[in-house]
Amino acid sequence: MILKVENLSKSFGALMAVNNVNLEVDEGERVAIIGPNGAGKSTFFNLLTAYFPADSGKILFKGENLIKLSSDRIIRKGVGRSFQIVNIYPETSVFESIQMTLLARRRRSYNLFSRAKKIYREDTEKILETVGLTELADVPGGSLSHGDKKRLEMGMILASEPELILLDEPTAGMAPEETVATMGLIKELAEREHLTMLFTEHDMSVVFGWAERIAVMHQGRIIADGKPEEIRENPEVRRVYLGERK
Amino acid sequence: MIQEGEGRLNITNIWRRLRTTNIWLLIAVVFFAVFPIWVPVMWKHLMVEVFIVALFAMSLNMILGRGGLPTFGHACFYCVGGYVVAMFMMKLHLPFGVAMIAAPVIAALLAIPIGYFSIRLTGIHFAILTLGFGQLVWAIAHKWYSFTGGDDGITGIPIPAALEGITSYYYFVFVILILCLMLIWMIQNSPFGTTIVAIRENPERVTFSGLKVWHHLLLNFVIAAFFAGIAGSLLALLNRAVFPEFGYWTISAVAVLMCIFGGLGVFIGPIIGAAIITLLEHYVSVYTFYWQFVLGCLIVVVVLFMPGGVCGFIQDKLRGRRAKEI
Repeated sequence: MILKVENLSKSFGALMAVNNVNLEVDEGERVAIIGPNGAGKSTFFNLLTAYFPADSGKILFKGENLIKLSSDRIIRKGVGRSFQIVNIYPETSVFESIQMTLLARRRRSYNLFSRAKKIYREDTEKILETVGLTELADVPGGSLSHGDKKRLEMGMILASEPELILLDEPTAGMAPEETVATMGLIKELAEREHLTMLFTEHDMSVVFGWAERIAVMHQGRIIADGKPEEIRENPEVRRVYLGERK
Repeated sequence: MIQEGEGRLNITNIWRRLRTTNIWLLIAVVFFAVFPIWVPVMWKHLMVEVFIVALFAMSLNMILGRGGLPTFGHACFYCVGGYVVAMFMMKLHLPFGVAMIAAPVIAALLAIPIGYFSIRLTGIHFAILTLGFGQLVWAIAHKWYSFTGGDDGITGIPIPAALEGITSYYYFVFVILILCLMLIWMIQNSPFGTTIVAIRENPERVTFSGLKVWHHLLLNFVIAAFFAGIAGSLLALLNRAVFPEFGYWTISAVAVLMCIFGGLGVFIGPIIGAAIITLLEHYVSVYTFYWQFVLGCLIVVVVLFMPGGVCGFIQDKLRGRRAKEI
């Protein structure tokens, strides 16, 4: 088991955004977290990466409690994440964005006297090829199309060499064919690099197509957790979430 | 595609690379190396001042342009550099070399506590806090008569015989400036320098790449103070005197203007800005008391029509032309 969350809670004033959540994720698993807007999915991700602190509970990553660690240390332990709103370097080129992330991950950021441009070129090119941005290597991140920005962010997550990846709505704002391509890429990567993946998603076809397991969140709690077909049949889930969409 | 032609050693490539940057660099170095031979003393003096102010502006741009943090207290490190040289030699009677090394080191040490508190803030809050710290240092220099000589400053700083003439001092400053610029260039192009720019663009992403943002910003702040300390020590030796006014916040503000004027995003931008403003001040104030009016007009023009500063503007034009050629 790579991730074990125990009784994790966070409230904002009177609102229990995340309420006693328990979740276990095995190595190499692809788990989707679904739920209506405001169910606490993003807050849950933000707690996992210490974007803000949890009120109580435990987050065990490979047996180690992450709860008191700062975001940068959690990343260094081997967790990578994307954001719902794409989060890249707008003026830095695609190539340098990836290269910079590799430098950061491999603890070279205090090096004052080497030429940054000459370090890890091959690894950078390999990642660009993986996410399909080789042609756009010299373009500043901010000038990319929405889908390509998401790919760049994916590339930057890969460059941070994680074992567990948290993706907050990886296909938000994408056209249907882009969605299929992106999820295909993510699945391929997960299998090839043996990555564990936890993602939130609105698009039910994506969720039921790509997730091996689904956890359903509602009002800060996980109300169901199981294989896609079990979730589809779960009456409570149908009532609070799937039914709502019809 | 990314590195087309790079690494292959043939005449065209060498010529292309020389033509773009190195040849201009070489011309500039040769020009300034022979400059003192044929100009009057006053010009040498003025050029030394330009060199020193340029180094100060370069150091400030490490925080402002690279780090994206508007500092208005940078002059305090400039001031401290000057005072350290003066006090080490005149009060502690230490040799010239020791004083010259101590100046940037002590400026950098002072930057640790100031940076520690300031660097967690951004924008206007960072500007005001650095200004406050800067004024604190200025007030100490200004009021503490028994320690710093108060508003009289410290005059009559001794200087080694070899550097007494303005020509030899010119070369001394010139060599130090070139060494510092080489170091700054290296740092800006190092993994550390790239990290600082990444932090300016998106600190959150840098954190989620596994780095402590404020550690890097603090180190950058300290390095910038180090170079400001060198500039301050050179200025004190040029004037054979140091005054609290070196550390007054307007000195920081003028250096910020120089950076914006020359271009925050171009390596030599602050140098060009420093040269233009220093020379303008000198020549325009010969004709009119209202030289600051002229400066004000120029700044309005630059900010409105050349948002990337003079160098940024030229670079854009050159790039545009090159793109057309292709």
